[in-house]
Amino acid sequence: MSEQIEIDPTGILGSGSKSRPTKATIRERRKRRIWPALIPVGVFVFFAIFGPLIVPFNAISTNIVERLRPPGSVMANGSIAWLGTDQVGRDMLGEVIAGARLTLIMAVATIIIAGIIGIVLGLVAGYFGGWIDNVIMRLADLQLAFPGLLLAILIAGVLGPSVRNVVISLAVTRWVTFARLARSSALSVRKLDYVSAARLLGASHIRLLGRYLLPASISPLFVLGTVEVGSVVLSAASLSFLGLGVPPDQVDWGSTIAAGSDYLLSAWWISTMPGIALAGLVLSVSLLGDKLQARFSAARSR
Amino acid sequence: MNKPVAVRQRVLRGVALAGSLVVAIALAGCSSSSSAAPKVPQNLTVAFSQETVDLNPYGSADAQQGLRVVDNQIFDTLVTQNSTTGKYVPSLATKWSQPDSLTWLFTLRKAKFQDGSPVTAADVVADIKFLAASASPLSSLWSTLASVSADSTSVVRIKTTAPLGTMLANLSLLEIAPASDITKSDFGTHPIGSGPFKVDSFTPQSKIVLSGFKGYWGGAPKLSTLTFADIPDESARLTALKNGEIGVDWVVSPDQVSVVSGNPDISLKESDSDAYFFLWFNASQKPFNDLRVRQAMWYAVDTKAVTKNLYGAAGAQMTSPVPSSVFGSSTQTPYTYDPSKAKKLLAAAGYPKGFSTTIMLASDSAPLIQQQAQAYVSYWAKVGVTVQIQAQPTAVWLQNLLALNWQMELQENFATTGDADYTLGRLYTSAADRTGYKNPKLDALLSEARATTDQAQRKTLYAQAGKIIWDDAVGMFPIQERDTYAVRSTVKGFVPSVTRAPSFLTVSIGN
Repeated sequence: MSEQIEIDPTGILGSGSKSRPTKATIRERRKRRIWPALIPVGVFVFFAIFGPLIVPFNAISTNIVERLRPPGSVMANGSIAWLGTDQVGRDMLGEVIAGARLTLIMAVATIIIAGIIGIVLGLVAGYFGGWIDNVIMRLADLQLAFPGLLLAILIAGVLGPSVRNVVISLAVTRWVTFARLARSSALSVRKLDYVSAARLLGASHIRLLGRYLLPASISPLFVLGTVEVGSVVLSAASLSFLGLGVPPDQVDWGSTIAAGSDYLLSAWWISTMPGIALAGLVLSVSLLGDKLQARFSAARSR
Repeated sequence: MNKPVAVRQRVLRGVALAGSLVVAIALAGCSSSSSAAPKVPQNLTVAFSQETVDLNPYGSADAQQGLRVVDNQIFDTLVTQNSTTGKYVPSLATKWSQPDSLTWLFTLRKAKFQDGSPVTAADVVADIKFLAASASPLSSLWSTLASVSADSTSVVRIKTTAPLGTMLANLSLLEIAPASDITKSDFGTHPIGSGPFKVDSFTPQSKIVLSGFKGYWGGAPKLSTLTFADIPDESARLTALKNGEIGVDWVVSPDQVSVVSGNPDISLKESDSDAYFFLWFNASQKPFNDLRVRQAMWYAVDTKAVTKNLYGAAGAQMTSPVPSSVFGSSTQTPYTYDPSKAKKLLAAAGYPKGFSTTIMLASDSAPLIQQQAQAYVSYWAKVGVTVQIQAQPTAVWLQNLLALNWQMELQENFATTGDADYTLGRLYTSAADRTGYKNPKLDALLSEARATTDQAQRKTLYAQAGKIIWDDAVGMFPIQERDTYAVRSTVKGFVPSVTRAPSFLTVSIGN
């Protein structure tokens, strides 16, 4: 009867109107606000998905009469090239947007595949322990012994340039972080009472892994995924810059920057425009990841 | 008794002192006047737009421009061509004669190889035999060789099975090396010739360091070292030129001229060039074994617009399979830009919806080659042909090219000897099999043209051969080039060359 029922054990509801928030609390809350970081990322995702419909772009179709025009030039057909044209006359605005779509596809696919591999291996390692854990973790160590980007270059070089091969080579080098996080989460959760109870009741390993361990580790893994996006985008752009990413009949930011590197002193906009977009995206994704991390760890600590 | 001796001794001592003072002053004067102007170190680094993968003039890269540029400094040939007059002048051979239409006699001058051994007729004999048997891109020039022998240590006798009108042209490409060295496996990295520069080191994809050969028969070069830096990226080359890391950069692509024009330390020199582009179709496989498909691909492309918009003044539309300045060139009927005709031809050949194929090129190997290929791909897409660009490193490209492991390929080419035989007669015969196109009538025309010494007759024969190659669309011949060289003002005595392989014998570094 005199039991204290904890209404809000995780503190998600906040402290309510019971007391005036202190200056420290306000600062803490402001740091955790995610919408300033979410907006640029949201804009990027919007343009990546819908952009090519608004500003159509054909990577193959060249217009060499209008090549190397500076931003703001008026074309022969009356339209304006807001970001200029590239070395074969393609509109830079369309090119940057088309690059955004390809970048988004490669980044999301890489994170999903690396995430699935990493989560599965990590949960299995953490849950079973013993020699399975040893084998998987030594595999991870082996993977980490190679510098990530160099390994990706090696794999992409052997497989040849294509979107699929970029995803493969990046996913192969990135599952380890996910695996480690999933493993540490599994290690802590498997000791909890409700997991032991379920095991006693006869739940199979698969059920325990899927229904008990996985949901507990989803949040930190999601945050990790967001943080990794920035890094994956940069790696994909690096591969394309080196010619090992997208094939020549497709454009993404890395290949556009590479093609414009011959023109840095004359037609600077070819490399600069996708460069600004790339820098902006990576910064805002990193910021978003930071905010999510702060939000999540604050929620956990309460 | 003492006094006269003492006086004489004093006088002698005085004279000796005065004399030595005069000598000392004179010496000081001499050395001070020469040390007043400090000697500028005569080390020059240059960069050429094509990569040098090999220095072996008898190997698979022997027709490659990157090889020729460096080998021209290391080796001599028996004769060289004067680019203004087109006539062949003595180099290692001082005189030559033809006792009959099948025999040539060449007399060699006294010259030494860079390892000290003398240049003898035995070396020339071994070199010719080796090249003719090598199955390399240049060996087909010697298909009519019957025998070659040394009449003496300085006279070479060459006999052919048929009169060879291009003997001098062929010899202007044969680099003379010691007979004992050409068979060595590392000859391509440590070549020895009789030219003005010898090889100190060859680091592929990095640099080639040459040093002046003091014993050169034409006089020691002014430069003490000449380094060819491998910088395939054009903007990196121009940056190095602006920083003074390299002294000469060629060829400067038309897009990049604005980067250095107006720079007070750099002057731009323009030169006629025997460089041109061709796009070959692999006629040994589908779909390019069909004449209609090849012609359709040409009609689909507006080569006039591509030349004008990509190259501007640095390019001209070709009207013949060899550049117009080459002996044997003749104007052909142009392929007008006609995409509807292209579609009709494709439909007639059985490809009404078009088809997919690839085009191979060597990255960074020629000015604006990637952009040119992209422009063509865009035109072909409009008639339904999807083309994927395969950009490869030069060494890989060369391997695939010679193995006919491609469907279409775009490259720069050089009519190095100024004679149509070097390109038409070498590349388009059935025996050479460079494109998969085999035509016995063409073979007959080309071998007759090579064998005739009547130049007017040769011109007519090449006109007919050119017409077959052009009308049968063995390849597409879009653009011939005019070159721009960028030279720092401290480099004196540099003269551009039509063959893009300039001589550095008289080049020096000034202030």
